[in-house]
Amino acid sequence: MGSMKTLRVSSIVVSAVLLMSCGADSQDSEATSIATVAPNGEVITIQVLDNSYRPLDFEIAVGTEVIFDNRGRNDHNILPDTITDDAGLIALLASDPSPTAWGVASTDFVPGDTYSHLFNVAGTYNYYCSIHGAPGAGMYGTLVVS
Amino acid sequence: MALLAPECMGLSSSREVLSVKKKKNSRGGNMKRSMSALIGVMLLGAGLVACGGDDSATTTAAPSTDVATSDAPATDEPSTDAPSTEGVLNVPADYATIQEAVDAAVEGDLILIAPGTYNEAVQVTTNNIIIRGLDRNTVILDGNFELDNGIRVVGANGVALENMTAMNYTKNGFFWTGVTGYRGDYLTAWRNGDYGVYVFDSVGGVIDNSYGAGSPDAGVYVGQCYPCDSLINHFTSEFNGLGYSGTNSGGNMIIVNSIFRHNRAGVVPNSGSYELCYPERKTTIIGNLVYDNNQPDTPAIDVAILAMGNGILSAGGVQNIIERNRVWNHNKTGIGLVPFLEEDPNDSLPEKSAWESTCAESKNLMPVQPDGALLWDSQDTTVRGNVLEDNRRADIAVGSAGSDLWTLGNCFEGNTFTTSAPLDLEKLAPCGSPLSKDAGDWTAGDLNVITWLVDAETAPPSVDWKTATLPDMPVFDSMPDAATAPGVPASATLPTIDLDAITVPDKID
Repeated sequence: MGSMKTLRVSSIVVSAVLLMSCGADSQDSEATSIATVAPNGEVITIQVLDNSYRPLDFEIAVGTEVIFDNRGRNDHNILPDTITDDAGLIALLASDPSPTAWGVASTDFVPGDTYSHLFNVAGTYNYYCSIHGAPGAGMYGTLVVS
Repeated sequence: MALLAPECMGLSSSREVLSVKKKKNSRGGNMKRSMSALIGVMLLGAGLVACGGDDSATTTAAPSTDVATSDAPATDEPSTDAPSTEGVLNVPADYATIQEAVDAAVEGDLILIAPGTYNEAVQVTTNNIIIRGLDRNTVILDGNFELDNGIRVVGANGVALENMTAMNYTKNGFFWTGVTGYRGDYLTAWRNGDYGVYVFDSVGGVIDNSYGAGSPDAGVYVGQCYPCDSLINHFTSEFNGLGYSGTNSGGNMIIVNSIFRHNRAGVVPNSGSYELCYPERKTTIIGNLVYDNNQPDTPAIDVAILAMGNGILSAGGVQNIIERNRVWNHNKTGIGLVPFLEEDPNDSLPEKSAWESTCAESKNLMPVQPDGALLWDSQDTTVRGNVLEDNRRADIAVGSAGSDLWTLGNCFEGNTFTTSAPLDLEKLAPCGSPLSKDAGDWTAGDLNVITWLVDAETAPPSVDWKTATLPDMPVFDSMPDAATAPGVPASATLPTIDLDAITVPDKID
């Protein structure tokens, strides 16, 4: 094992900043808006072990693609803290095309599977595995996208 | 995961781990989706509009309560309902479901459950509550093969679960994760799809007077903790894939006075980088009865099939103490110290100097991806004063798959046995002095664990946990005075246990 260090993606090149209306309901004229950033070409991998995300906390530059790699022996899922289970996530992804709707259900994340998402909106993304944790407890993680 | 997989020896992984690199194609589908969204944004060219930010940025949503579909208890009238008392929440008298009572409880509360069948998956996130059945055998949480865990304690410290049965859950009967201080007492876990009693990433706990049967992994498991400061006492584990499993646990991890029988394999502490806090180390296994772990008709994970026919098997564990157990009737070894080959590891082997790192410390270390497979050798383990008989390959054994056995530091002393691998093992590897290549012939009768792979290929396959044959559920002693005993939250400090006073238990049928 190597020494402790924090990996920070710092060489971000923001090629475009697009601001648009992007509410969950596109028919809603008062929808909230999301600032998105073009991909910066950076890719990082988070190991998904039994039953931990490694690293637990991660800071990346906006526009970075994150690959979650299920390297354990068990099924896991990756749910934003606002979602309670696989069904809720599937419903979210089906109804919300915005880039902040993300995550993967356990049926699509068995050992050996990967899941990737482009984090092109700044913010703090708290997530967890509903099989082995709860928001902020057990198997959980945080991505700070800045 | 294979204990030893020759086809994977030398397997090289080119995975990038936690590294920054230029983007490449990946199998994840969401990338495409995100890109589509981004293209859509560009086409829209909507101009500059203030954005609302990140939905998931600061959420602190209450944890899921999973399914709380409690039917009314199946029995007609709870006959032993305790009277309402300050700090005591009665189910179903005060709260229709266990989950409702848990949600209403505050620290220090005692939840008393009347006899009945509760179709619930209970989640606990409140510290220091006690959940107790009034009768171990008739307070039954039943997952109906649909719900995941009987009771899951997530990040809540000091929670005690007492005197009840959990059965037919797709995952675990009783599950603690991420806690400091836990206690399970008079618990029965029956026919659950992963583990019976499952303790993960938790420290300071006791599992006592409990039972686990019918799970493909272990009847009882404690993993990813160092120091664990945990005790398993008076546990009976049978008809599981593994009687006990502990991956990367150890450090005041004590397993005593328990029975492991009729599993595929009995007691299996093990190391691997698929969980954090490796290696497994400093587990103390004393005064247990371990027998008949050749059971061919259990549900079983792959490791259980590979380990089948062994009583106490340290698979890549280090610095364990195995003393004064009675171990008999196994097709392979009574007590075996063998390597664990991890074919696709997530980190390099830790240096010996890192074995003392706490779990919390090691979690923060960044992994260094090895070039190929890892061989976790069992090392520095003491096997002393055990009584063994009728273990067909060898009563006591040590093996590797490439390392010189005298370099591993395992020692054997004062055991009552007939056969060993290599031969004359107690002369080759005595305790208290450095081991030497010149102590004798280390190759005569040595253990060839590679052959176990062949055995695994032809071993009876796993049986569906939902339909595996189990004997009638025993009627167990219940917790004394369950209705009136005060509720005491779990302490993170282990009770004093006099290990020196434990003797080899008498043989039973």
